[in-house]
Parts: sequence; C-alpha cells; structure tokens
Amino acid sequence: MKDLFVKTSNYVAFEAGINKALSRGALEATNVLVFGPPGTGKTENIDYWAVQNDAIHLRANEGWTPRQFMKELATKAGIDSTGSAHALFERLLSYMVGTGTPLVIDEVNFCLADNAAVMEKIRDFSDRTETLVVYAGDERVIPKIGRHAQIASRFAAVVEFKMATLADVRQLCDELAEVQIADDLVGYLHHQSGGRVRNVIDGIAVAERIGKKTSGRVALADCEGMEMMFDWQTRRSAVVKPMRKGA
Amino acid sequence: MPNKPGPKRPHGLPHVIQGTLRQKAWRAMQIKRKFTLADLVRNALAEEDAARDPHNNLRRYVKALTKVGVLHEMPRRAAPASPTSNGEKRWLLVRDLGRLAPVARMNGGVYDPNSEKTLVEIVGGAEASHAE
Repeated sequence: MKDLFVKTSNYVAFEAGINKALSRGALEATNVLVFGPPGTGKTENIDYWAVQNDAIHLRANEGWTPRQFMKELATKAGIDSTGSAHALFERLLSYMVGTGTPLVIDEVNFCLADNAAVMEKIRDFSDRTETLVVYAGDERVIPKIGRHAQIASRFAAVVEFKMATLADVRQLCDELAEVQIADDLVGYLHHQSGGRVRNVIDGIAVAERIGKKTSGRVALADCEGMEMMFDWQTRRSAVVKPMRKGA
Repeated sequence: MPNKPGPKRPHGLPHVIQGTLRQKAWRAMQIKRKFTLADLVRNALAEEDAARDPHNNLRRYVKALTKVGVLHEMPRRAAPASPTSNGEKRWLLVRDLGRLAPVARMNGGVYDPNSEKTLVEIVGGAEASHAE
C-alpha cells in the first residue's frame, strides 16, 4: 500500500470552501466550517491541510475556556503565554497579524459551552486580524452555531463531509493499491464499507495481498472466503461469499 | 602568512531552512502526537513534492529525535496490514519544542531553532541536555 494522501471529493469540496473564504467579499467572513458524521475523514483531511499550509492546529477539549484557548494558542505559536488576559490577547493579536498563520480548531462542539464563549474569543481574533479559521465538528454543531447569528454570519463556507462515493473508492483503489483492482471488487468495497474510508483501506490491503500472490488484476472472484473488513457497528466481518455458477 | 580561502569564524546561528519535508513532518507530529512513519509520510508529502525516498528521510529524522528524547517509541505497534507483518512502530511526541522544526545534525545531536540550543543524545536513560 502506498503512503499517499488521496484527495477525494470531500477534500476537493473543502479546498473549494477555503478558496471561497480567501476570495470573500465581506472581510470579516473568515471562517470555514467542516461537519459530517464520524468516519468521513474530517480529521485526516483537516490535519493534512494544516500540515501543508503550516496552520496552527488546536483540538478543543471539554471545559475549554477563552483563557485556556489563548494559552494553548500562545504555546503553539511559541510566544509567552503568561501575564494578564489583556496582555496575552495583545501579544496574540500582533503575532497573528504579523504571520497570517491560519487557525484550525478541531472538535468545535467543545467551543460552544457557556454561550459560545470560546468561539466569541476566536471571533475577536479573526475579525481583527482577518485570519482564516477552519472549524471541524459533527452534525450537531450546525443548529448550535445557528443560534449565534453574530458567529454564523462569519462563515464564508460550510462544507459537509459525506461518506465516500463509488468514484472515491475507485480513486482510493487506483492511488493506494500496488495492484490493479477490478470494478466488481471496487463496488463490493463501496457497498460493504458504507463509504467509510478506513474500511475501504482495510479491503484494499486484503486485495493487495491476493494480487501480489497472483501477480495480476484482483477481481471479486479472487477474494472468495476472504475477510475484507470488520464493521464495528454490526460487529461482523465482511467475508466474500462464493460466486454462483454463471455469475 | 598566505591568505587562506573560506570563512574565518562561524557566521552566527546555524542557517535553518523551513518548509521542507522534515518541517512538514514536524508539524504532523505536533498535530497527531501519536503516529507511525506512514502517517508522517502521508501528511508531509504533497502532490507537487519531488522528495527522494521520503520514508528513509523521515525514518532517520524520527530516529534522531528519539535519541535526544523528543520522541518516545511506544511499546505497542500499529495493527499489521498483512499476516507476516509485526505492524508499524509508533511514536509519541513527548517534548514539543515549538513551531520551528528541530534539525538533526550529521554528527549527532539535534539543533532546536526555537531555543537556539543543541540537544544531545540521551545516554543511559539520562535527560537530554542542552549544549550551546
């Protein structure tokens, strides 16, 4: 298996959202929200983007306060995190204006406690410095953010991460596998995984093992009796059933 | 005495180039905290990068950081992808030195551009010490 980051349709949509935020009309609309159910690859995609764009990445925690957010941001930025809240805010402002470093906040759900106090603090920074801020969370954040009109209006783009499509699974097989994978097996991986990338990758690893033995293109018939992936939700393994004659 | 070519004394602080594969790998370590070599390669390598053997490059970088106590090798490996594999090694970032990526020196040790000091190899479980 090749160690590559595959830019599936979710990443393409995310990049389009970022470009929209960068070419925004309203200068204070500097935020991008990424949301979606677990297993859609939000964290993987955002981590990759943060690494490639040299962003400061923060993971919000339960009970996060504005002060803790500022201290953590200062630590990550490599600036002095001591002193009064006002002094720290001023230092962070000058750092962010000077560097223009984008900010990534994962698990945004934890920023919404106490009347979204942490998000309000982040808004203070992004409004003043016009810093690009990317938030990531699950579907539950949408109505919660919607309750705060002054925060919701700052979002230039809202990107929904969806389960991998058949085309995404085809792309994953083409770019990651070191053997060729036939269309019927791609369809099987897509169906059995329900579009969860992690499960698709497990299936590709199995197909690759078979392909290396047979040194050819791997089809569904070659995987008969093989456990392709394990589904934690149903707690069952996906095993390829024997093909019917003439099928 | 004839004039000899070349610098007469050190030029000051070591020259550190940022935006490299190792810089990106360092950023990935800071974000992920726990990672395998494959995680680093996947996150650090961009489509347009023409890195030659990034696995080998980052393996040597990780080894150097482990020797000075910045990384710690975890006792449990990642789940293997094939029946004959023991699984990939995993590391934990135990000392986040700062935004600038530490530089592995050819002759041992790691230069930390954040504190402008050199970390020396841990011998016999002692803490990594700084040297000017």
